[in-house]
Amino acid sequence: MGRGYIVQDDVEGYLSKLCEQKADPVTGLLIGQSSTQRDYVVMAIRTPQKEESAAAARNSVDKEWVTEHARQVSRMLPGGLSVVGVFIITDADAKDALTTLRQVRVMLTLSSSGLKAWAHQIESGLCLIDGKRLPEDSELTVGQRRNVRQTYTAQLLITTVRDENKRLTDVIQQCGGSVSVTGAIHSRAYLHSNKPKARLAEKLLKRDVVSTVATRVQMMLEELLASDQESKGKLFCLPHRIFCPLKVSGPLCVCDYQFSDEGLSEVTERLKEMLDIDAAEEDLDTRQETTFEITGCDITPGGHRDMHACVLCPDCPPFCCLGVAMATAVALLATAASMLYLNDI
Amino acid sequence: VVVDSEIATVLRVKGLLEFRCQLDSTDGQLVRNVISRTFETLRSQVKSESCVLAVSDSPVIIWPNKDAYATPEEITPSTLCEDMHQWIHVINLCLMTEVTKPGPLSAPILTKTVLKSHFVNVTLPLDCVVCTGRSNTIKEYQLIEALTHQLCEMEKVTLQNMKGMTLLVPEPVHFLLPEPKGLVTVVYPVGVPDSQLVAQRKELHEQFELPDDRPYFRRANAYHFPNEPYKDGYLRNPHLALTHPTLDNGKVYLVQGIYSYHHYMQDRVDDNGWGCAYRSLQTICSWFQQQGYVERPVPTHKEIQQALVDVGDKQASFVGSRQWIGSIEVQAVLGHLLGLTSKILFVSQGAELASKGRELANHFLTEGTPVMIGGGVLAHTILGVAWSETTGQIRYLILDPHYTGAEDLQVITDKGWCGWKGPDFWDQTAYYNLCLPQRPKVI
Repeated sequence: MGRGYIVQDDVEGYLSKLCEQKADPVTGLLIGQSSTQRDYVVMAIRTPQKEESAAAARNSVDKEWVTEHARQVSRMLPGGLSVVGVFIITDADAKDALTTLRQVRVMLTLSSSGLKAWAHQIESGLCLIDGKRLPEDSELTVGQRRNVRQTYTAQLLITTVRDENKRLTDVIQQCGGSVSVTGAIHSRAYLHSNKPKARLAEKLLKRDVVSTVATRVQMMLEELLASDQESKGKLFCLPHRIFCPLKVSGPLCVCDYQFSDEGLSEVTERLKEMLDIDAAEEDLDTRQETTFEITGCDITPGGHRDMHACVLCPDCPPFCCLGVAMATAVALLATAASMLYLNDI
Repeated sequence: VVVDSEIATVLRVKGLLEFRCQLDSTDGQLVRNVISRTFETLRSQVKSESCVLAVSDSPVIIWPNKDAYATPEEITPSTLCEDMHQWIHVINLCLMTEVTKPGPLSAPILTKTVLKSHFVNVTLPLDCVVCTGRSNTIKEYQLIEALTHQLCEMEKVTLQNMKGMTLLVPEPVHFLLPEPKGLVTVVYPVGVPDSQLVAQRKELHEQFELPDDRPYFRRANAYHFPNEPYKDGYLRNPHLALTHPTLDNGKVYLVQGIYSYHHYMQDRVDDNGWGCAYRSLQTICSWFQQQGYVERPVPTHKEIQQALVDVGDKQASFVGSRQWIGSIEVQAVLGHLLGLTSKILFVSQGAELASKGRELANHFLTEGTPVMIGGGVLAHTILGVAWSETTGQIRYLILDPHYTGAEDLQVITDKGWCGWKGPDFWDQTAYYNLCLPQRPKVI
């Protein structure tokens, strides 16, 4: 028994075009949002070609590669959008295809334990939507007409949660250094417009806040470990988030992260390779986050400017604790209602 | 304990603030500078626009440094304070931080240092109370001033108690002082016992002009807020629910402070028929514990019996038995387990108790401790007397340990398990012994 999907028109078109291709099998990811009753699919992305793959390998499904593609694509999706399925286009037996599909699993884990504490704070925080604290079960679009695009601004209020496991003697610890993350990120989540509940909006938004910081920190730490620099106090700009609309007219956006030494052309290349989107540099929305400007007096060694220090033990793998995003601007978008009322699936 | 009705509202703000800093050197002065700077950062945080107060059990959220509110439609900012007064006597607020702002803002940066250092990470328990008459705006309650003042107090206590590279967590405790001083907050270092804080208490007694022979600032003296249930489940001061008798030219003399009501069948001990004196003794022990004279928890029946064996008053077989005890044994246990002295008052006939008005009145005036009375086949606790010097009329406020029901204040007061009794309450021909515990003269 399959699950019911509600699929946008252009997804159908995209899949049809893939059917016409010579390659067999063609795999890819389905992107959208799951709800209890059904999944909404807004996008399909074919699995990119692996450069080194031999001709023979092209005829079978490289499960690890599909999984890796899914992992990287997940990083490029704002809140509310995720990999909801995998597709396979093949002449082979349907049963075999299903088996293959089931073996592809996507998992996104938060690897750094220090960020876990901060993530927990965000997840337990209070969410205000348009300045109001809404009851969890209330619907967001109450009183609104259908087919109207709606943007909501959210605020997040957090408290510190007392750590029952922390002993009194743990107050001062020796450490070999520190890693800290400060600054602001732009967080965004999209909601299907079929009576979405405030609770869902809050959950998706918080998840996006945590994942955008975690993704960037992960990307940065991978860089640092690879380059192995020895300087005492080093400042690194985390990549900032760039949004790209799926369709010129549509409200949905995907995102990518641009490092300070990259140009926009690298972003459009990645969008093409990973998400199979043809975007021009003018289409990209770079206004949400600006590059951090380093001036001489801003950062003092061991200074306290919004410092949330972390511990880096010499013998332990680096972990980051509590990089609190100082501020986010958030837009919640209910997807166009045309998605909803498709009868034929 | 009742908060003065002159105080219209008590606002209590609680929250946890993360205190974090990195110490690059172990030099004492440099360390103190970093600590002070970190406290200053926390004070700025509290004064910033991202500081938020959420009213507990209500949808109201306040930005005190922006004069902004998030409230449901029915409540406008001007009616806010009036409405708050009507709800409850104590309004609890939770300290929160807003982490969102309208954009665009600087993208995040990652800072890395590689340097042997010490990392300090403390969770500070902020807890401020503000008592004030009716005010119109949130600003007039001076909540933010209270929070920053408490952070200053915490900084002082932290620096005072730093020894090398160890740091004690500062913790606020509230005390209700006699009028007109009201609620006062003191910051103590966590983990330091009362016995090591005598100097601080002396200073506080001088500062607030309090007598130097009774404790006001021990941790056990901490004020218990009316909306906080006691975790142990015992009722406190059920006598406060009663109307006191009015006698011609008479006055009411009551126990001072807080006690717990101990009675039959509590703590899963079935002592129905034999444990009444034990329960009265437990009530007395609870008084000394809650006034801060002893740290020892209320003793169990077995512990009481063991104490009597230990002082040589009973044989070893006494422990685990259902034997009664009397005032003399109560006196012995109070002395052995709690280090207290008690006076024994003897009357050869119950009828004589009517003439003990002056003595009992004096006891409640000077000592204010609950009295255990045993005689005939019963034991009770006397919590006060109403006595007229001119007419000799007398009433006794009795707490009855023979009650076997649940901790239901209504039942206990309606049915007289805690109630005022006349002289005929006593067996007129039996003899009685009263144990009058004496209050130690310490702070």
